[in-house]
Parts: sequence; C-alpha cells; structure tokens
Amino acid sequence: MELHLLRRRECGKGWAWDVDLPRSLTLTELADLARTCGGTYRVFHTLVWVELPGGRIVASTVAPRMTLRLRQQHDAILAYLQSLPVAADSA
Amino acid sequence: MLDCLVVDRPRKLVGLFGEPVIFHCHHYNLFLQQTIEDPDWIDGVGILRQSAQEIFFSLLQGAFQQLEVLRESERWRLARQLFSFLGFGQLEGDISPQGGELELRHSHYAEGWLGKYGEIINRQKPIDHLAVGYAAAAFDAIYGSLGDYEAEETVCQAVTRGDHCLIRVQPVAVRRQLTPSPGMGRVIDQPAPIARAKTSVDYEALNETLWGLPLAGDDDGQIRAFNVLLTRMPANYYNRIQYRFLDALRAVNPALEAVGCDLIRESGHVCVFYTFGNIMESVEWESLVQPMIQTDTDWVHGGYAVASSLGWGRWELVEIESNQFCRVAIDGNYETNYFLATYPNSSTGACFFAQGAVPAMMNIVYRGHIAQKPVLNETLYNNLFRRGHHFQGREVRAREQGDPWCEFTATAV
Amino acid sequence: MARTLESVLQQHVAGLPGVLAVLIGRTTDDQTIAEINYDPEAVADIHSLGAYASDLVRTNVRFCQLFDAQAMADYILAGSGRIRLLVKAFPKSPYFVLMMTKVTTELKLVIERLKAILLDAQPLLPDPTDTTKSTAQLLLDYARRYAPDPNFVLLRLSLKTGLHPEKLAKGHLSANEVRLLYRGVAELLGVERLPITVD
Repeated sequence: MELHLLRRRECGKGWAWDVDLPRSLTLTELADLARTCGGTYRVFHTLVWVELPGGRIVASTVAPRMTLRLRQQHDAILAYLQSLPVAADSA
Repeated sequence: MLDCLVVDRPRKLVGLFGEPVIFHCHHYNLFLQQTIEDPDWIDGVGILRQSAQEIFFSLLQGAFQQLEVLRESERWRLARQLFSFLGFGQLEGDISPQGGELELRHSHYAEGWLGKYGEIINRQKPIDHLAVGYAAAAFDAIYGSLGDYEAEETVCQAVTRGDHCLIRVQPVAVRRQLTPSPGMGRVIDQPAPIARAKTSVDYEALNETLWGLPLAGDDDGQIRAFNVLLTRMPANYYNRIQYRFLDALRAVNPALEAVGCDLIRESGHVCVFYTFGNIMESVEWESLVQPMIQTDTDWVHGGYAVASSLGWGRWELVEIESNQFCRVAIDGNYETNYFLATYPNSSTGACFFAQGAVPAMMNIVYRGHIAQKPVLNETLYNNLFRRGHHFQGREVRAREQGDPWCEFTATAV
Repeated sequence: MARTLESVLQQHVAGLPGVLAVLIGRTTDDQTIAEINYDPEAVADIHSLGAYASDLVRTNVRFCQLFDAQAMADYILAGSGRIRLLVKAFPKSPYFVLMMTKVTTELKLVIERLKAILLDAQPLLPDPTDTTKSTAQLLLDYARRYAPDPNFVLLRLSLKTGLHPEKLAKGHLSANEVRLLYRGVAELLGVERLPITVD
C-alpha cells in the first residue's frame, strides 16, 4: 500500500513519524508487524501499541494512521507496511 | 508501579501511595513554574523546592510503608524508579546519610524548556526545582524525617545545554519545619447529580480505556503519549505552589495578587490549548474518541471525557451552544480538594487552573479549528489573542465558596 | 492634491506583481509612519513587521559602522523560501522603507521601485525627534517582539518589576523604575544588554 509520511517535531525533544495509510490495519496485521520486527503488541479497545526494540508504534484498528516513535527500524517497518495489500480483505 | 495506582471511579480521581496524581504536560509545568520564578521580591524558587520536598516526602513515605520497603538501598532504588515512572527523567547516584551528588538525565523541565524556549532564549539559572525538592525528600524519607536535608542544583542542562544536571544533597544543621501533604484532601462524599449536555461521546467508556493505558516513564524517564510530553504529578505539588505563591504575593505586594492569578489562569489556558490540541491530533484521539463524534460540540465533550480521565476529578460539560458559550461543572476538582483541606472558605473562586482550562477547550475547538489539524505552534497561539474574538472564562459556582460543586463558563468575546 | 507618504508608496508600487506590503518606518521608536497592506491575511500585523525591520536596520547600521564605516548602509535582504523582505534606510536618517513581496517578484524591479520611493519620500519625512514613545514603552515593545508568550509579557514584567501592569503600560516611569524594567526585559530574554539606551 502507498504511505504518506510526515516527520514531526515532538514536544520537548526528538522527532516522530506520522504515517497516513489508505486504510486502518487489522489486529492480525499489527500482530504480524510486531512479530516480524521482533516486538510485542498491546491492545486498548481500538488502540494498539506495538512495542519494538527500537521504540513504540501507536496504531489503530479503526483510524488509517499510526505514529512511529522509534530510534531504529524505520526502514523495516515502512517496507512491511508498503508490502500490505490496499484492501484488508485481500490480505 | 502501575499496579499501585488506585482509580476512584465515582470521583474520577487517581491515587498513588495516598497522594492524588494527575497528568499535565510540559507547557503547563513550564509556564506555571516560570510565573512563580519571575518575581525576585518573593522567594519563588524556595516555594517550588520546599513544596516539592514536602509533597514528595509524603508520596515516598507512603510508598515505603505500603510496599514495606525497609532497607535504605531498596528505598533509594524505589525512589529512583518512582521519579522515572512519574515522567521526571532519570535520577542516579550513590547516597549516604552524609548526602550525595545525584545525576539527573532527561530532566522533564530542562529538556522541556530547551525544546520550547531553547532556540530563542539563553537560560541563566537552573530550572530543576522539582527535582531538587524530590532529591531532598528522598533523603528525608530514607534517612530521617521531613526537613532533615536540603539540596541544590549545581549543574543544569537547561543552562549548559549539556546532557545532564547535577544535584547536591546534604543534611541541614537544624531540621526545617515543613508541612506534609494533605493527601487526597477534602474529597466529595459522593458524586453530585449533574446532568451532562446531550452528546454521543461516552465519557465513562473513554475513562475506562484511558485509565487502562499503562502510561509510565520510558527508558529515559519520560512519558510520551497523545503527542505530548507528560508528567504524572502529585496534584498537591501544583496546588501548594500556586496557593503559596499567591499567599506570598499578597503578603508583599497585594496589588499584584491579581496579576499572579491571571498568569496561573494562563498556565491552565496554555496547557489545555496545547495539550488538548495535540491530543485531538493524535492517533489515540482518532482511534478512541473520533468514532464517537457526530457534531462540533462533541469535540468539546471528547475533550472533557479525556480530561476526566487524567485524575482531575469529574469534569462535565453541562451546557454548550456551538461556537458561542459553554458551562462546565467540576465535581470534586483537584484544586478544591486541596484548597478546602488547607484553607478556610474562599471569598472568590480559587480554581485558577480550571478558570483558564475551560475557555481554552472552546478556543482550541472553535478558534484553533482543531478539526482541520492546524500546526500547533506559537504563531497559532499568539494569533488567538491578537485577532480577538477568543473565549474568556469565569468561575460562577465555587465549592471553595460553599457551593456543592464548581462551575465555569466560557463566553466568546 | 498634496502628496503624502502613502501616495508616494502607492504610486511606486502600482503594477508590481506579488507585493504583500510596503511601509516607511523609523528606528528611533520602531514606529511605522506610512503603510500599505496589500494582503492582510499574509501580513496580519504590519506594525510588528515595521518594528522587526527597524531592528534589522539598527543591526545593519552597527555592522557597517564596525566593518565598513566609510560606506553607506546598503539594501538588507531577508525572508523565507516563499516571501522576501527588502529594506533600505534613507541616507543619514532614522527612516527606512520596506517592501515585502513573494519570492517570485523580480528583485531588480523591487530595487528600482524602492529607489524611487527613497527619492520622492525624502522631502516628506517628518521631524525624527517628533516621537511620543518613552524609554519604558520602547522596552515593553522590544519585549513583546522578542520574548516568548508575547501576550503575557506585560503581566510577567509586572511581576518581575513589582510594578502594576497599568502603570507599566502607560510608560511614565521614574529613572529607577525604568532600570528595573530594563533588567526585567533582559532577564525575560536571557541577555545582559538590550539595544535600547537607558539613562
């Protein structure tokens, strides 16, 4: 799928990446992302935290957007997201 | 540490080792501290340090007792864990009854200040008054009693622009007479029957989800959530510094007490404008709140549903006229819980944070046009005032004046 | 009809594409004495623009005095990737003319128009000593331009100086109070010296 990236200065210090997606990801996809990148995930209603060795991704199963707060692994995550199909049901 | 949090659902308060704890962002922390530091004709820095020492002593003593931590080394480890958990940074160093030199890294105040002001101002004085008070409190709670130690920041990252701060702690010759925290304060007996204005936002569902988020300091001792830099602060630190500050102004130059009140209100305004602006642009909001929103007034409701998840008490939007007016009730506001436990009734409304927060919520929604996701920067904020037509707030009912709860209005001017 | 500074500005800017604002300002009190705002959306506060330009001119004059005292101060070019500021001081005068344009506007054309304005406006400039601003007001204005949270600078300075905000705003202060204000402004900005002289 095609991604739109926005690098945003965080309050205080550091940078975050906001990733706009063509659709929200399913929990299965987020779980797979966590596993692929060597991390875990936690679910809070429709909000999902993907905990990775390099930091945290705040994602959603209903909003087509996620925020990456990572020290590393950006390329691997973006590559994973780009490899996903545009429509969730074709996954 | 998350397991130690106690959520008082009916009152929408959160306790930690007997102290009310609340979330606030670095915009609020910095503006409030700056206001108290500004007048050098009162001892503002003394108010900040001493209040921190008193409130954190109560918190740490509560933690040691509740968790039955007896050994000094374990108490120090817990004190450091708690400091990071609350989002203040990392505190390291060897300690003994004779004192110690502590290294502070990723200080919330110093890094927050550098991020907000560092490109335009050179700071010349240390900023970590809270950490100084915390360090003294930790030594008091580990080795002695409240007031046995004092601390000083000898190197500050906000001044040096280095990567750490240093705090020196030493025992005092004669114990200072300090006042511990009033704990949860005078809380409401039970929630008042306050009718919420019509909305599709489910406050209670949001409360439950947000209370369930494991928000704690990360490896750097910083809390990043909803796009903001947060602290989980003992509410009584804010309460004590704001009311003592006003007491000091009144004692020395009563004509300027109103100026102090205005600036504390502004700290509430700047807090809500930036914090809720960032929250409303975050993935968390889009995921949890946005699906409930059907009208523009629901944005304001959503803001208060989140606000009442932050430990601030029961905030209810009871009346709203789109883009014109709103009335907010706070049943058991954290400011009044402290105020009523510390002072006699007030002759005027004394919830200064809330007085600024309520108009700010309308300003971010209707003047900041937050639904369009503007860039939240100083230009947007300053233009709010420059262009006029912003919302102004008033406390119209006050528990601290004998009313059963507090109420605030925000009106477009 | 008698010529005015505004009519001079209007005459020489007419037909130039991409002009956002043009003004004549004065460095002694940061006042804007003539102005035309072609795009109030882009230039929300033209008087602030004049005051910031005034700071640029003062800085340039000091720079020239230090490094090339014999030569006359030249054009000052500033701006962003989208907008451009061109400022030129009137010779031996505290007055200057500023033009703010889009970057797409041809610089050569802007310089030609500025030259014409300098020539025609010169005889119309008022006496530079005709200023009503006190040192206290200059200090306050400077703080509002450079301190963070400009809308609350007056209140912060009130607490810093111990003086009531109404008194500060009026600007009628004793010499000692002006010194207090100077120190307060310097502290807000984290500097030791300000570019405003206090007796």
